[in-house]
Amino acid sequence: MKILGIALQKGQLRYSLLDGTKIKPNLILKEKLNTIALDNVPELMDWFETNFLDIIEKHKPDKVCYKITLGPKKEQLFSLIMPLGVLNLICKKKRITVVDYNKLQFTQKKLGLDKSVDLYKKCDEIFGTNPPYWDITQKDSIIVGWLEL
Amino acid sequence: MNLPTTTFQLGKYKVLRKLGNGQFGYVYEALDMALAARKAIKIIELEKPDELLSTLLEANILDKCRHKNIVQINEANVMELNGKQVVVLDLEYADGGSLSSEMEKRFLSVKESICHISSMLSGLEYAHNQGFLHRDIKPANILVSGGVTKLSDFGLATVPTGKIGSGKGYVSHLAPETLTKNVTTIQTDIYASGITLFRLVNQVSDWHSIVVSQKDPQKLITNGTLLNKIGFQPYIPQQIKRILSKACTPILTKRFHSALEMRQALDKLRYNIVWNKNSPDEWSGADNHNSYTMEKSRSARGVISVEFSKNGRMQSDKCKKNICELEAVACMNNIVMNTTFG
Ligand SMILES: Nc1ncnc2c1ncn2[C@@H]1O[C@H](COP(=O)(O)OP(=O)(O)O)[C@@H](O)[C@H]1O
Ligand SMILES: [Mg+2]
Repeated sequence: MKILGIALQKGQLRYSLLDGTKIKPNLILKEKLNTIALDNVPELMDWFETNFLDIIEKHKPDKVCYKITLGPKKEQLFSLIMPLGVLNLICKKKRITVVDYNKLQFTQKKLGLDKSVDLYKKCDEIFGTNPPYWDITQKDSIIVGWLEL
Repeated sequence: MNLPTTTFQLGKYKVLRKLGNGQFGYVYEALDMALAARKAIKIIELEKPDELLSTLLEANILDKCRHKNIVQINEANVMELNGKQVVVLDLEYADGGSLSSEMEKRFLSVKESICHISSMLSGLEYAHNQGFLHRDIKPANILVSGGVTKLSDFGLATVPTGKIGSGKGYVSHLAPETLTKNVTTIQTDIYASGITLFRLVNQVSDWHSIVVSQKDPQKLITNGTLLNKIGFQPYIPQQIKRILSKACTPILTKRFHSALEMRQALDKLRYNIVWNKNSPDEWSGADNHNSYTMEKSRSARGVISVEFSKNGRMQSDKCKKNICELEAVACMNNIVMNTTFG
């Protein structure tokens, strides 16, 4: 199963494409896109629609997973939360299952790992380090996909 | 083909007015009487019956390239007109016309130009991902429909073969590698997108005559100096020049590799003031909260000054008094250049 994992950051859309299994996950690719300016919300949502669609049409994932930020601040609502509404609608229209995860659901147990394991370090171990932009947000996009494998 | 100059009937279409004629077809605004809907129809004459399949290629490609930034095809039909077989493409009617007619009508701000090209590149990337090259990116082939920018005219489009294919028609924005090695690739579409952006931000409507008026255009194209030779409007910000040089360099390893990469460079730009040139002596601008005007004025005694105001209030620190004509123009150009981006 091919899974698209998505994590947003202010002004950035990060995604990763995974296949394999929970025990043997495989990172096919990862990508960072810069969004347009955040000051015009309708334009920004249009940008997200275009780019979510383009990514889905290009990679044809079987499932889409995304990370949702808990307790967002007001300005984060526009850059981190509202675009996920657009994503859900696109997935519904394209009949692709879409699953959300928040940080509290990033548990080692779900991945068959010991509680002491640092998931972000584990990402380096399993997938190697993949600069540039091999950071928390990028790994978030991987972990949400990994959780669904 | 001699087509009537007044309205005429073609099957279910009431053909209203000519929108443009290009190299291979005639495009009309038409009323689809079955649906009571406005359409654009492209009528392509068949020279020989065995051209039918190749003439339908444009329609086939459009059907495989359904994207919000690509003009939508509704259907394609073979019909008879004046006793001749024609292919009729039934297209969504783009009410905003083409960017070439738009730029002839009015000044396009840097932001508008970039937004058009960014959207067009979304469509182009989709076509590339579907396995097609467009091969004729230019302002006349970018349309605006309901406020959305759409790539159009896949009449020269093909699958990438490395070679230029049939070589049908004149390719407007010939890339260096097409000129020297006769190849067309994804990167030649990028090159043409760069030239298109250059034309939009520099108000160059008639590309062909400006190119042929150069001393040795072939050499300028192949050594990558064409744009600098033609020159940039003095208010064009550095950020745009950098993007244009990356889109139009003859060195393929340095050129953007994909439409997405070029679009990302454009999307990353952050605007400050959007400036519109109302006349050679007057600019108006706006950001999210304020409006600006800037104009050159001449007092009764002949003293020239530049007056800059924000929300209707004169900003004396940005105004200039007692300067010459050229200084005034340069002053305004500099302000536009330095305040377009944040
Ligand atoms: N769908 C459309 N809606 C509105 N105008 C159009 C449409 N398609 C083409 N046109 C107009 O007709 C012109 C020529 O059409 P195009 O498809 O580019 O034909 P050609 O292959 O002959 O260049 C365009 O530049 C544009 O002005
Ligand atoms: Mg054309």
